[in-house]
Amino acid sequence: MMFDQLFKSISEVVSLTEEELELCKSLFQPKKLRKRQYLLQEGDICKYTVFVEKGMLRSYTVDDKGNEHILQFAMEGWWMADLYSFLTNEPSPYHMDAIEDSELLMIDKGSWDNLLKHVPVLERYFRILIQNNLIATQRRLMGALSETAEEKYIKMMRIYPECIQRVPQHMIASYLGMTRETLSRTRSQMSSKKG
Amino acid sequence: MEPPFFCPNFVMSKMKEMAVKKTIAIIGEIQGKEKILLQLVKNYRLLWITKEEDPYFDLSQSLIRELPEAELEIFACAKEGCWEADIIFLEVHGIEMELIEKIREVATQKIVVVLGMADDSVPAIVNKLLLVQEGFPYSKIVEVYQEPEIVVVGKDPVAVEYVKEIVQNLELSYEIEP
Repeated sequence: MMFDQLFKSISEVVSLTEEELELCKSLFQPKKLRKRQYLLQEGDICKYTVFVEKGMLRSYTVDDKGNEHILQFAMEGWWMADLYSFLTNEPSPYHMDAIEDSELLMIDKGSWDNLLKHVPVLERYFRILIQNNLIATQRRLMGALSETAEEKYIKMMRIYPECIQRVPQHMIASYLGMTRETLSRTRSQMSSKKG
Repeated sequence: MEPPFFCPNFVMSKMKEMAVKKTIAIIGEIQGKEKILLQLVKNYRLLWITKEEDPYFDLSQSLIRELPEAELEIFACAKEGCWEADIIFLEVHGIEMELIEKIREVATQKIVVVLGMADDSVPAIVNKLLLVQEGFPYSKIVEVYQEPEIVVVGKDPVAVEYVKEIVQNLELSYEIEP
């Protein structure tokens, strides 16, 4: 059903009344996105913060040489947005598109403010979401600065095993900040060590 | 709004003017609207929702053949088409409770444009519009009709301006009422 994942995510942190759940339903825009369809392109303003009910999205930049640099993946139960663009109406440097056919729930800034005003308990939900994101971002930054290719890959297998299974290898490489050849070599070396 | 507690200094590789192409779902007959369709398809991805037994289905198929580079698809299922859409166009004549019930859930927070016809009697339009207002309580309803100029009205000013922009870009020979 359309709001299953969102309500499951919310209920893990806070409890909402039936009335509050109905208000949620009235403020989110359901959107189906096909594989490879864009949600956001560089230069657009990120007008929505997006919850993934089904499927997978990615956000990334493209450098002047045409190389993609993936910032984030978002699968079922995850949120995605360029928060800076969403909050300030400044153009985003990111592209966002679907890696798989996806079902999304999107909420714009006005509706989000409205939701938080009338369901104040959701402030706690979003606060915990943002603090978890900050912690994960700090850890990822430290990993990017100090870990070997193998350590990065092992960490990703441990924390996001489903991503490893569903996302193409060249995108995993981009996310980990390495070339696909380096990732391929790293995986080979790991297989050899096991054997 | 003040920027949040950090202010990243992004180096933007290229500022592109191109925004993501919006998707318009059009529910209704195609006859007499070929010119509008050909203009809309330049800037929007179009999902034409019609039944295969629709007498103008072959016409819409030939339009697809004429514009292979355009993003134009035929959909049989109104719910699926409107789920993918960002904006929904409904013809006044085609509005029935059954259709509204099918697409209500996936039309939440979307712009729903109700297209009136030049020869519609006022009471007929009013009844259909009441049906739409009640049927889509969480959508942004915008009415477009001829009187004799094209009139674009609705409660949400942002939605109205957006639809005016779409209608203006159609290069119609009518004046848009401000």
